Amino acid sequence: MEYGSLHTRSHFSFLDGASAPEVLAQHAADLGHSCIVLTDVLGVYGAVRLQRACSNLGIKPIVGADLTIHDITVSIIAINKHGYHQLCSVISKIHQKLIRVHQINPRLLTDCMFIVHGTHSSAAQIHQLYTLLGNSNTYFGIEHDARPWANQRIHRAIRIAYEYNLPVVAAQDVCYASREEYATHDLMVCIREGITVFDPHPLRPVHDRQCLRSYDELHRLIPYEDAFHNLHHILTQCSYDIISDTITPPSAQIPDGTTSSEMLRKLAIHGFHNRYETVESTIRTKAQELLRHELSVIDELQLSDFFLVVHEVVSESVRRGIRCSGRGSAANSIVAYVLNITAVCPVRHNLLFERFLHKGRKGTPDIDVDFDSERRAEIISWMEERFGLDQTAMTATVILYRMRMAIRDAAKAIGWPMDIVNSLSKQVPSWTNHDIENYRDQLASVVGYVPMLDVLLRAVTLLLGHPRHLGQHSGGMVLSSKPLECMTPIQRSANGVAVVQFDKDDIEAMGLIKFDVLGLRMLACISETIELITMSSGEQFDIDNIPLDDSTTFDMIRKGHTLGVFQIESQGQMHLLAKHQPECFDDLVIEVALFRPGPLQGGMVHPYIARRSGKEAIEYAHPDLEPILRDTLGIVLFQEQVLEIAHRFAGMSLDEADDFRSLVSKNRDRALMTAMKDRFIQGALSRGISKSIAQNVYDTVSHFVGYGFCRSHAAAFAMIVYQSAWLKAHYPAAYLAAFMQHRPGMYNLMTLEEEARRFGSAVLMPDIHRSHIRYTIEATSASSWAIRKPLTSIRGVSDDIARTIILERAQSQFRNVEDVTLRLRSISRDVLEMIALSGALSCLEPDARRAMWIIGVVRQRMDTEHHNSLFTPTYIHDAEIPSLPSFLAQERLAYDYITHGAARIHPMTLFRRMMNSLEIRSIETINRFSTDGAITVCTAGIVMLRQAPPTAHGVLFVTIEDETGFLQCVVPPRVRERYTSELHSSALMLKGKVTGTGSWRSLVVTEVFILTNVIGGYHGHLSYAGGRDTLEVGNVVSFAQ
Amino acid sequence: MKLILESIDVAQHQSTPSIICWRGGTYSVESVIDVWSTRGRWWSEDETRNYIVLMTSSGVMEIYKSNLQGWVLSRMYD
Repeated sequence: MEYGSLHTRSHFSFLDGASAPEVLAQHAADLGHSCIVLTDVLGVYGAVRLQRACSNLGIKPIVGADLTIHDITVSIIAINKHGYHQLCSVISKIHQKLIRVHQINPRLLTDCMFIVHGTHSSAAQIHQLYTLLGNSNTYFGIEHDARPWANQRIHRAIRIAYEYNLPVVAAQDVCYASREEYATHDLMVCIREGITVFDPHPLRPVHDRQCLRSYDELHRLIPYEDAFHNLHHILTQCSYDIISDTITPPSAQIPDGTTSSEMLRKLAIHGFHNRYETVESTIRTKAQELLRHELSVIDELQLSDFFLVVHEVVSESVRRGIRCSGRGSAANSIVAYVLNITAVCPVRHNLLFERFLHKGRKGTPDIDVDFDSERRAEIISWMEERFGLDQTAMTATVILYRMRMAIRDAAKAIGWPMDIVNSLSKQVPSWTNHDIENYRDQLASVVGYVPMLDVLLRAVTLLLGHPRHLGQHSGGMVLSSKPLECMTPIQRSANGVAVVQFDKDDIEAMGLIKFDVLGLRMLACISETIELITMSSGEQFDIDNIPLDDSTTFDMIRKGHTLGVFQIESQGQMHLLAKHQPECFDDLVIEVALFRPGPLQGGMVHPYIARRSGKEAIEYAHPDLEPILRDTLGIVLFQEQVLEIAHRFAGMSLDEADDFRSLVSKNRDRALMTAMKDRFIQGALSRGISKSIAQNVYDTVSHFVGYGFCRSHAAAFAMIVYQSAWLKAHYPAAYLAAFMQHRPGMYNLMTLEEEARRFGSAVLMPDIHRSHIRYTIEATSASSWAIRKPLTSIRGVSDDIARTIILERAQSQFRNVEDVTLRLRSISRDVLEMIALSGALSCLEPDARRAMWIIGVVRQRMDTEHHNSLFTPTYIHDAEIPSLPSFLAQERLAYDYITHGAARIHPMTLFRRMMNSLEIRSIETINRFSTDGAITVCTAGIVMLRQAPPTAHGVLFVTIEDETGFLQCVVPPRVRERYTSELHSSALMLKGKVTGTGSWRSLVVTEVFILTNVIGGYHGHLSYAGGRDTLEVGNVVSFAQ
Repeated sequence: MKLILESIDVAQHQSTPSIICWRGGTYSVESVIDVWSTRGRWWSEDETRNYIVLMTSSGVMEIYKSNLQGWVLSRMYD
């Protein structure tokens, strides 16, 4: 006899269920259930996970969903595939508000069953529901709710069911697998309802019996044979396997009489000729072989349509002038390369196709393409139009409780006020998911060692890892040849985007294709740089065909002048560049890959640098490793190398080797790792390799933990690194103007403007006549260019206001400040004054204070005086304007910060004479000191960055900047502890010893002073990333005054 | 219905009460009428009770088993 829970909510009911589908399935199997029916609230989010878990446990998964109709919960259960489609369609319509729940049409759910959970409902409510659903495929679910007089309610419910001729069925309300999870459920209900755990609420559970129960236990509670007979009937009837063996690719555009595989072959051959026509023959021959092999694999895996569709999207993007670039493991594919999806030749860069695809690969591959972030929406719109709105949707991401979010929700549920909640959540890093006990002391620093702290810790532990809500993947677009509603319910996100109910792994398991349409601001920056160059000088070039060995570019990179360059602009990267000294494109690929958590934590950086500089011998544990690790000097740096070692050295199949690579990278499952280790060593032994060597190689490979790049991804990114560096080296004004426009990096505007000045490009202030809506460049001489800040850089000037100004000045230039005030009457006085304060009216009135005075008076008189003149009236005469004091230099800089985010000169300039007398060295001077650590020096600057990466073991890195450059200061843990308060200041004087490598200098700090205490100084500047170096406007104004 | 709240001894057969001993009297259980549960605060050692309403030789009795007090006669129904 079939038996199982008919009404089971998992944690995918989002705070209405406390167990994962996998846990429910396991517990059901332990209790001897033969089936389990998952009925999450308005969704089938857990269906794939349930199916996967059940197939391992040998029980039957059945999918349904809970709806509340006329205040009664109704489970709609799919009988078969068609029923599942119907269910998805109805849920989609409800989510998208196309129908209301009580308007569902049972005739659209012919292959579904309805279980009415009416034990607590009134006869009138049941009647209303019966009128809607009828009694075909409708059952009356009986539950024993374990509350007083449950049996009486069951008797009453059975009477009502017989009255309406509805068969009864045993359908306990299950919200968690076992009684131990009651607390989690209760806490989730409190969070969901916005109440504290001390508040009574009718929806809060009063007992721990909403768990799975064995047949015997439930039969004792509901001793009605019919209810179990009908349960058996339902469970027998329902069967549908949501996990598909076949792929449902989107439909490519293929001419009649041609197959997708023929079409792909044709396009690939055409692309091959374009890419390899002028390439040396050895590479061309290898490429030809590789292409043939890849096409056969793609054909066998039935992925031709997918490649054609991605090619179509990329071609459309290129046609529209939208810059795009393939990344990730797809860059291993020569087919992707010849179809212009990726930009790196897999032969030349020794990329491994098997990391992307191989025969026997499970699931669908990922092709990630970055698009110009500003124009990505255009491509998405086009895709929706091309493939059909009902065949495209975004992939979901399940947002799980991590430590900080769990602390917030748990603390609120405990009833702490919001300021304490905020303080508590700031005590843990945002990324961490470690044991909350590790943070007991930090949390106690906010609330003390009170008993409720223990409750908080317990509550956080209960929540961690459970889903909180459904989010939208950053770019994963699901494309299908069939309407997606047949396979998944579609929801609308807050901003109206269609989102499926499954994440990327589930999508893959269902055989659906996901195409990552990602936005990359650096691509927008590169595109805009080229446009600025072309528009300003008429010069044209193809950035995708620039020589990859440009000495000016590599000189700049080796010197570490890479602020603003893609991926290598951080202080850590600059330090690494000084040691690594890249000389060619392949070095850039390695540079990008070296500075990742995997290689950093695995201790691979220093050996690589030592080997490259000849300080350490290059050795291979076994000759088989040499061809795999030769170009990384014997160091395991790329995911492909892990895969190749497992395949070639340990004799694993490609599939196994790929699993091994994935497992090593993620380092999550220790039991699996142990099994894999045995497999690895046994494999090596069977190839005649000694156990000690096998063990040694395994140890080396297993160090590759954490996030590391695949070579193809590093190569794809290195191309963007090189292009951005090339543009910065050759066209700094245009590049940095575009960079300031798109802000793809980590530095604040002041630092970017300083960098522009260091590269010989003046930064011109906003100007009412010259500034546009975006950053532009202006020629300052025959060969030099300056960056003009846009009107929109002024605080309060929106795109709309900037457009108004530009259109007004297009009629005729403004004559004076009064003319500006009169003609821009739609712009508020506050904004006009901000424009004046910024200095944008200095072309009309050099004194900003005078300009503000005129605006104020004219606006006041415009409101009170009414002129009926045919001509523009005059509201103010020069003679009326009083003599006003001009801004002091310090005031000017302060108002620059306030009005447009950066000063026209670096503030430290104002104090240089005084600092020289105090023997506070400029950063440029520090850079000239030797690096033996013998000299103690003092320097000062405004804080650009503060970083304390978890890998640094308590060291704080503070980067300061003055008018001559920037310097990373290393604050050891003991110094950090001693100067905690001072280090929060935005301008610092630091004493320490100079160390460094090559052109890189850093200061190992021994003493810290607040600069204002030393020189009566300055209050810092706006930080792009926010944080403590953010300008306090009030402070600046008071300082300025 | 009378509130009693007194400790009792309960003999069980297959996890179900069969005989109740209260104030020197012995009452045999004829049938179980109802069962329900209550849980205390999950973060403290509050009491958890499993209630059983029984038809006994002396009428309807509501008893519960508590993690803190053991078996208790909660009420007697008229």
